Amino acid sequence: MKATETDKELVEQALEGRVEAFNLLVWRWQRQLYNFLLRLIGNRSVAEDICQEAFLRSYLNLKELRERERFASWLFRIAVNLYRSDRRRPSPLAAAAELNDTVESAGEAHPMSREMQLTIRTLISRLNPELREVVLLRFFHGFQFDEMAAILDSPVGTLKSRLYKAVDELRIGLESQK
Amino acid sequence: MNCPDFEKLMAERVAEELTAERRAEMDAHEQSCPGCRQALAEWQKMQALLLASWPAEEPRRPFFLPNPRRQNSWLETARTWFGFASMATVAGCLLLLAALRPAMSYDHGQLSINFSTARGEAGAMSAQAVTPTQVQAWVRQALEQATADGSAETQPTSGTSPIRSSAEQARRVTQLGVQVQMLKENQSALWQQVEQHGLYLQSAWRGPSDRIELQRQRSSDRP
Repeated sequence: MKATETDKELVEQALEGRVEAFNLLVWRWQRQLYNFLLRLIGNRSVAEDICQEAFLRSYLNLKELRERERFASWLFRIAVNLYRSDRRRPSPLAAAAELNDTVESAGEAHPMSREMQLTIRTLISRLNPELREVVLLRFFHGFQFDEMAAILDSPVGTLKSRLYKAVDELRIGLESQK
Repeated sequence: MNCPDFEKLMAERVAEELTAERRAEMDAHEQSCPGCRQALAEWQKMQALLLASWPAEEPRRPFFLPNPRRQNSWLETARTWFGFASMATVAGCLLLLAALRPAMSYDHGQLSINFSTARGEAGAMSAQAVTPTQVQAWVRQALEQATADGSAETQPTSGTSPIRSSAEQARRVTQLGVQVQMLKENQSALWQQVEQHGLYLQSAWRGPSDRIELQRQRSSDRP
């Protein structure tokens, strides 16, 4: 089994009963999914729990995946549904405070100042969850609008308007901090 | 392209998701419109700020699923082998039965089992069906036997009286007549039952209104 195999090939192998093929998919997407959930929720334990549950559910329901090349969108959709049904939602400020320990000091490795990082994280955390989902999927994880529509179960037009609104809010927030 | 169209496609432009034709249109508009050029620069700056503000971190624990093949317990292994052994035993017994072809017979209180390996060889008891031809042959043989017995009885060879033999014959004829009469009665009773059942089935099929009509027809048809 090679790491260069596509998601579709790995899904087909996993459907034949090869758990190691599915584990390769997990290895490929766990960092992305975990960080998406972490930025969305702001709590590591909850993000880990939902991430684990999403991988388990995707494995158990893998035969229901029609477009096998779209495994990532399907996996993120499962995670978003789990997040929406989960009631353990910390407040935005608590979430930002918990993740402050990962804020890096400005230097050669990280050009942004610590204060600026904290400001932007807080602004993201304060966004409405619907806007935050769109910003994270688009800017941090590079999903296209049709993939986002499948993940968030919303029309492309709605997602676009949400993205523009989120960018406006972030820009206004940044300007007010100056 | 005008400014609203440019703004609508800004998200795709930042993510480099446009076709070459669209990209060329946007580039042309960008060169000619300072406002849109500034808006695009702000979008690109915003994306860079967001990405720099929150770098990805490694999960604290992996999310791999356990490999079931490595976690087979001795109980599961034993269950698998027991299943295979059971299937092999059943298959072996079926093959043995097919090869030996045992035949059972019960005669005078004794049960005997014979094994025949040759195809077509008659065993202790062959389960062949009785054909109508065989029955006819048996009846014919019995009639011939009875006729022979009757003719022998009519011959005055054993010293019995001819009157007695005639009386015996008359008695047998009477008995046969009675039996024939009983058979006729049984036959007519059976026909009545068949007619009733047929009538019931027809009425059940057609419904209650037709059932009354059918009963009336059947009663008028009868002599």
